[in-house]
Amino acid sequence: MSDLASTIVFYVLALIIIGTALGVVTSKRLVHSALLMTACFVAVGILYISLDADFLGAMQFMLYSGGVAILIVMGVMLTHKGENLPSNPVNSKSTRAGIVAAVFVVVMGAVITMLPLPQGSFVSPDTVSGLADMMLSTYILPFEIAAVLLLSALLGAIILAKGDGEA
Amino acid sequence: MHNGILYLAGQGLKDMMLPIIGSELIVNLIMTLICIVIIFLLVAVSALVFTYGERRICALIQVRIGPNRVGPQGLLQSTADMLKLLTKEDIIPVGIDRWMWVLSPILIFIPSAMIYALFPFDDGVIFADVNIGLFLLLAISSQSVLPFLMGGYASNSKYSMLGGMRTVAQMLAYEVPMVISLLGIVMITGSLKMSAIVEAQSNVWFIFLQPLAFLIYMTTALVESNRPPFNIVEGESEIIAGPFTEYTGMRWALFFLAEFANLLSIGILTSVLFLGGWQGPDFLPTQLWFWIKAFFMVIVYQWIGWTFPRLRIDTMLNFGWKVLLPLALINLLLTGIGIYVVNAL
Repeated sequence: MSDLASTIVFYVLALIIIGTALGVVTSKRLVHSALLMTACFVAVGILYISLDADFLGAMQFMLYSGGVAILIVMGVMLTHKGENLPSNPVNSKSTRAGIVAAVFVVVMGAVITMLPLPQGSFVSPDTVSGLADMMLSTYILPFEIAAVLLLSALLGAIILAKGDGEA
Repeated sequence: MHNGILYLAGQGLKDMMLPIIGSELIVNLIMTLICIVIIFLLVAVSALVFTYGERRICALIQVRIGPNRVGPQGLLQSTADMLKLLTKEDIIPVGIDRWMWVLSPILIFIPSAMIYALFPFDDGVIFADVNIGLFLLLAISSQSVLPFLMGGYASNSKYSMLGGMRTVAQMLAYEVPMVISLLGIVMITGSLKMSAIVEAQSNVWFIFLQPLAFLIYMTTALVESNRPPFNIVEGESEIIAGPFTEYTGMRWALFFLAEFANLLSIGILTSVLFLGGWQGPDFLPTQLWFWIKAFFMVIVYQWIGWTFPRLRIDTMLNFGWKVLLPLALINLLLTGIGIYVVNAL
């Protein structure tokens, strides 16, 4: 892709990501927030793909659409308040959220400006096998620890869902 | 290097256009647009053919006659159906979540059509032969869960909501064994690239190396594309078409179009992943082999659909988690051992 095209793609995607992310926090209804979050994740995934991290992008698609679907089911189940009432519980705390967001912007801005980012283009022809090599040889221990952590979370969820005496 | 008919036709068209237009960039752009148009035509035409074919095959299997009044042997039935859908009143129910309701049928069609870009139709003919082909394909097709739920939620009706919830339950449950069963193929091929998967089957098809994975894939593919006997998302007799209940006319037709696009794509995928794709004996062109296998699998899927009664949601989820998932894991283990043994010999 030529430089101009990738710049245009980047700015369009950035606009979509920021717009949908704003929608997530300002939307009055929980389900809308969750769906806008999916749109945001999909746009981030496309951004990854446009930056040659295709595996990461596909992963983003795959995990988050399913995850958000479950989030919506939970949201619908837990916040059944009636049809057109605002159901997003965090909207009332906008001042505090604004302060946190401002601090975050300042910190991130400082980090990005201070950090010397490597110049030039980085081309990785095959991210999948590179990742596989790293996960299953160099970083096998953290990989296994993460797996054990996920397994224990899974077991915990099953025990919580089953309740006392059943599990 | 490639010699499929479609590849040669594409190259010929490109060579013809290049001297007239001059710029290679514009020629590539035009070729991409042509490919997109071809994919959409393919989906639309297959929907027309399949509506007729499905009803006739269903009737044949269930010892009925099926549509036979419109045109010779009822051949114009799907045209008549389409005209009916086009002229229907566009009913927008009161109390719906307007934007989500409108977007749902459109969004449901996008992933179904998008995965056609990753199918290897012929030798060298694949619109996007990316490195992570199979994984990207699964990732894109998993995007069809949310639109169903959106439609079900936005319709503001009990039946639709139930259907939407069922979609999430069944699609997420069966996605796991599907992915794990396909891992065996990836392990043998050593690549996620779709063209590499087809080429790895030049000697022996994966259906013979991975029979268990083939059966698991067939089951999960039926579930993921909402085909009977797993179409409890729609479940006409219990929840009146589920997420589609409140849609009429062209909006409903989009759901329908996505369903037939999915039917064709699971047929193509099964033939590509397990039956050697476009490869076959030399007496027929490769392109013909591809479509013979794909349509054969489509008919097999329809056959399964019209032979077995619909399952209940709880038995089906039990089957997915407690039978298919362990089977898929066993298959993965056996494949790993098999590869190790073959490499050691």
